[in-house]
Amino acid sequence: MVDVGTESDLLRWIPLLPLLVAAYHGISIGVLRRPTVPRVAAIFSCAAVLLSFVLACIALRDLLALPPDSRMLVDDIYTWIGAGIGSRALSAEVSFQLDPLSAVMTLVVTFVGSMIHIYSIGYMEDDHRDDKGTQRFFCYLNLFTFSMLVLVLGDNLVLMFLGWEGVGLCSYLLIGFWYSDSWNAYCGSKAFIVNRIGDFGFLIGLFLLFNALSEIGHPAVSFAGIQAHFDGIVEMTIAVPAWMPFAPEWQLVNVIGLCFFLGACGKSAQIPLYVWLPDAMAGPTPVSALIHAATMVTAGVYMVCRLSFLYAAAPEASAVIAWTGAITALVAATIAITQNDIKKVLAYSTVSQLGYMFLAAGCGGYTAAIFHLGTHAFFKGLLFLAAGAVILAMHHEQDMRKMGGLWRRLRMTRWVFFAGVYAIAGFPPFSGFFSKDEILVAAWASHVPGHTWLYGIGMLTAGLTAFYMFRLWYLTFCGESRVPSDVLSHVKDPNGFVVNPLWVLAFFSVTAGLVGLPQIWGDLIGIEESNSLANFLKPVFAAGEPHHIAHSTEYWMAFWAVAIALSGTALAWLLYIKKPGVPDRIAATLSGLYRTLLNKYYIDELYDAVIVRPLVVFSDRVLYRIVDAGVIDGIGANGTAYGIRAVAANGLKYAQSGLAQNYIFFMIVGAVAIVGYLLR
Amino acid sequence: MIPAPDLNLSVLLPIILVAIGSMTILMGEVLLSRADTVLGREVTESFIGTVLAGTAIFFFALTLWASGVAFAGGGVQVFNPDNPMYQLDPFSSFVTAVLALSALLSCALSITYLSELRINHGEYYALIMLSASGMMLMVAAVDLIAVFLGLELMSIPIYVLAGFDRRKLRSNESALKYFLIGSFASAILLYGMALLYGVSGGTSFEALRAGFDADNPMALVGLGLVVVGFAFKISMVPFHQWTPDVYEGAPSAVTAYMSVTVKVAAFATLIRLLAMAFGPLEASLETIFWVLSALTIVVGNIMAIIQENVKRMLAYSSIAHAGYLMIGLVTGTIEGYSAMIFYLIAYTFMNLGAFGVVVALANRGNDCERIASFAGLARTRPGLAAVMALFMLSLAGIPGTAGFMGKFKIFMAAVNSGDIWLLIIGVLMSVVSVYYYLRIPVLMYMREPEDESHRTEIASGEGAVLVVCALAVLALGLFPNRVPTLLFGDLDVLDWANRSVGMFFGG
Repeated sequence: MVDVGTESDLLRWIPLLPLLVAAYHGISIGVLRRPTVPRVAAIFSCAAVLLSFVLACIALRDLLALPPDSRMLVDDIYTWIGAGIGSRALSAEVSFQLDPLSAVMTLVVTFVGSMIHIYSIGYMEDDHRDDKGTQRFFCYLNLFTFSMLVLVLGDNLVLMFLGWEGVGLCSYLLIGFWYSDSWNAYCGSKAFIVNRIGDFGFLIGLFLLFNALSEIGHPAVSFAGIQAHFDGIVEMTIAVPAWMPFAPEWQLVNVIGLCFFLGACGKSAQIPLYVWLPDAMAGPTPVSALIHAATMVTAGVYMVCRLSFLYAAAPEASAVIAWTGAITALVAATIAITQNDIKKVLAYSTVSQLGYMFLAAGCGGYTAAIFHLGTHAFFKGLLFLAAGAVILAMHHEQDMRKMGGLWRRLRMTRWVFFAGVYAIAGFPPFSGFFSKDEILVAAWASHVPGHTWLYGIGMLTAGLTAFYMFRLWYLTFCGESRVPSDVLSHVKDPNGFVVNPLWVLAFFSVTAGLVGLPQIWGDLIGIEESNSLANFLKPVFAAGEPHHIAHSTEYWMAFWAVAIALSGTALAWLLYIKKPGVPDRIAATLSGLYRTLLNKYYIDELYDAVIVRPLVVFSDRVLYRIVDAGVIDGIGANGTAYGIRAVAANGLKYAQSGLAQNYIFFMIVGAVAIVGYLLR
Repeated sequence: MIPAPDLNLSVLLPIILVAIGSMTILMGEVLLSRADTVLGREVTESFIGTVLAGTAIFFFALTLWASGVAFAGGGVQVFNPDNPMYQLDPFSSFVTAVLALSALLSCALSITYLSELRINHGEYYALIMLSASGMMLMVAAVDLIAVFLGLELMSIPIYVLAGFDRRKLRSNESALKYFLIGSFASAILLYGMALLYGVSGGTSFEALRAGFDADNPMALVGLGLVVVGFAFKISMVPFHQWTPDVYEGAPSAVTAYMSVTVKVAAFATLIRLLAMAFGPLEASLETIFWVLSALTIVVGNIMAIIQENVKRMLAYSSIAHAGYLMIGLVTGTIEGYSAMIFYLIAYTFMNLGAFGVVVALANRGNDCERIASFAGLARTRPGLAAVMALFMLSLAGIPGTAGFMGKFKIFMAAVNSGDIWLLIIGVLMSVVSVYYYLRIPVLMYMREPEDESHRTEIASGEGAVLVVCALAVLALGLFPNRVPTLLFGDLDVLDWANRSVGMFFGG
């Protein structure tokens, strides 16, 4: 162990509070079958998450009281798994650690989480499909918060994996929350199954890493332990057959890094595993905001940053991450342009923004990735919740073609929505501007092959982002109303539970960028160390040596970023306000391209044809009918079962005659056998 | 003049407390049944039953406290140093505490059940206390005579208890069968003891150890017969056949009591006998225990599959569990013994819990015995169904429950002492056991309720016992090393088990 950290019994309560309330809900609906009054159940849940947030703030205060180099709180509770001996000993503790990185994550999760919990009170009151629904919903939501907190607070990979699987489970449960509609259940399964592919990568990475550390005599799964002995495995290689690329040997840390990144691709919806996230919008909107925008989907980014010491030693894996992130950002942004469902646009936007974060992380800009993760949690959480408010007001209508002109009706929602759109489009001084700028700077300065191209893709995507977000804004709030007249008269702002959290999130969407104010701006207004977030996080991350960038270059980059955002906005204004007929004409002229984008590059169809359908056929014809039903069930399971039952029913049963004298006879046989054996 | 022996009365304190309790109950019943009102309350049969059960619980709690204090103190105290017969040491005080706790829970379980079956007689609790005092004598004994005395003091009240529902034919049959076969087994045991005495010239464990001659056939016959006697009490195959008949016929509360306490007491005595008296013989006994253990695991689990009566199913399951426990004896290591003690504690809670649910379902003189009658219980009695499912999972050894940790510790000991084949049999048969254990949760949760007249409310005593057992099963499964409690600090059950058997290994 390098740095033990300061003991703090406080940490365990941060995840434990939501777990306790989730258990309460589970027991009252599952075991006792007496659901609590919905409002009361909801208040319990909100209180638990809010309290967790308060505790996280106290923990942060304790953390800040420590000197910057040893900022680490630990709470070692008990040994969860102890197995093996000697150089292969596995000891996974249930132990939480709070360093600057997990502190940022914890604050984001608990704060945005509490806002979304409060919002859900108002949102779910609208739902009358199931009398136990509200409590079940809050049960899952709290369970999710618990798992997410375990994920970010766990001090070892095994505990992190527990949280990782926990959030996946909750995501599945909540996407399919209205399970009576089979489409929702399908979307839940899709998310779960696609995630399994990523989880497989995570596990393989974990095994390889543990195995390598065991070989040098330091088996460890805790981050501190891995980091302490990591130098010993950097030089290790794996021999591969000659026909494989990059033969004859692969650097081990690159393989491990790519395995973990596969896990991150699943959880954080990157190419090739992003297909589940748009469908995950089948869940209730607060779920889309909490899980599929603000927190869970960022787990992959968190993991890559947590393992920054590994990726710093694996340049090839880092390059793959950066390029995957950049391409995902671009592809998702192009799809978002053509979508008509308000939540789908936001979903592809989320995929695209996550791509940005990976672009940053792959370029070594871990601080930028976490910075964007935080601001994105605010503005994307806000946008989803505001979209939810619109959907509520529109009586569950999500098609933007049937909206328009809501500016006059939703007098509060419009302001918060506007704040969110500005923040994501990247206009200064809104939060998205600073975090996106930092990512672009990181891409420019990195050593990743083709880093100027990465910068270019990032800029292009920024323009597309501004375009599709303002397209959404104009289609929904501006122009002529296309709302059916019978609905229009009812359209008004939802109740206070829904609207008030939006104001809070809007405030932070606007201002959160200031915690990461770049030094060049700080110098202008005379603040030393203006980028307080970067300074706070610096001790956690492995420091690289980026290219030096002149200050003038940085100013120009900021200028161009604003310019491209403005041009995206202007284009959207031109096409959807000034000349509303033009988009249809463009779509007609470029119908091939338009249809490809509208149908999301036919990726779902491709996966279906190449992977899903052959797999289903193979699984049904061969695995099920022959292997499972025939061999395993017929000969194996049922065969042995009938065999054993037959032994009992036809053989042993007759020994049990019920007659005392027979019993005594068997006893004597036994006694004679024992004595006979002893006397042999 | 003969000098008065230098007696250590405090050694007998736990046993004396139980004995005094049983006397108090007998006299209390006489006094109470003469009175019309006590403290302004009308004296009814159920009132008497409650008061007497309360008395029994009180004395068991005292015993629990006394043995707990003795265990915490550690050290070995002998009752009569000139002629050692009983000794209070970490092992006996710990096992006594376990016995007192399970007897206490059994008494709390019985209060309403006896009223429901209209057999609410005060001597019930007196008999339970008497048999408990016999068990405590037996586990504290370091002399064959004392062991036998304790064994009989334990057995005879249980014969009576098995036939306590005397209007029922089955109950009578159960008592008579148990008595007949039990006497036979006692005779075998006594004969073995006599032969051992003949070889070594003494009855104390110390004399046995010193005078034992492994080449003397008389010694070997004696040894074999003693093993048979105990194998009967812990129902090892082929000395097990009384078990299902007796467990089925006896009132459920009695079955709950005897299925756990007799097993704990007999196993504990066997451990002490092996560790203190037959030390040098472990090699030849190991094979016998190996075969007995394997046979018991296989036959117990397989026979349980075809049972349709839940009490018979649980009887075979308890036979199977005795087989798993026996693995600990085969290993003969401190790890194996301490795993046995942990397993016995886990078994106590999960088996008491499972029988407790059967007791809590008994209605107006009828036991709820058919497995099929558990169908749809989750709908009609969700709380009971939930704890029953938990106990079944624990008995099957599903992780997260006490049953898993117990099996894990036992199997681990088997691995470390090289008994791989026994381990394989144990694990395979555990898989078989899942079939019959899970049948009950499946019936409870996935079938519609039958028209079965269960009791519709739970008595507070039964509820408390079930809650205690369920919590213990979870706590031992989740935190085997350290059970966190709000009231008593952390309970370190594994460490206790280690300390209690540690004394046999010079600890």
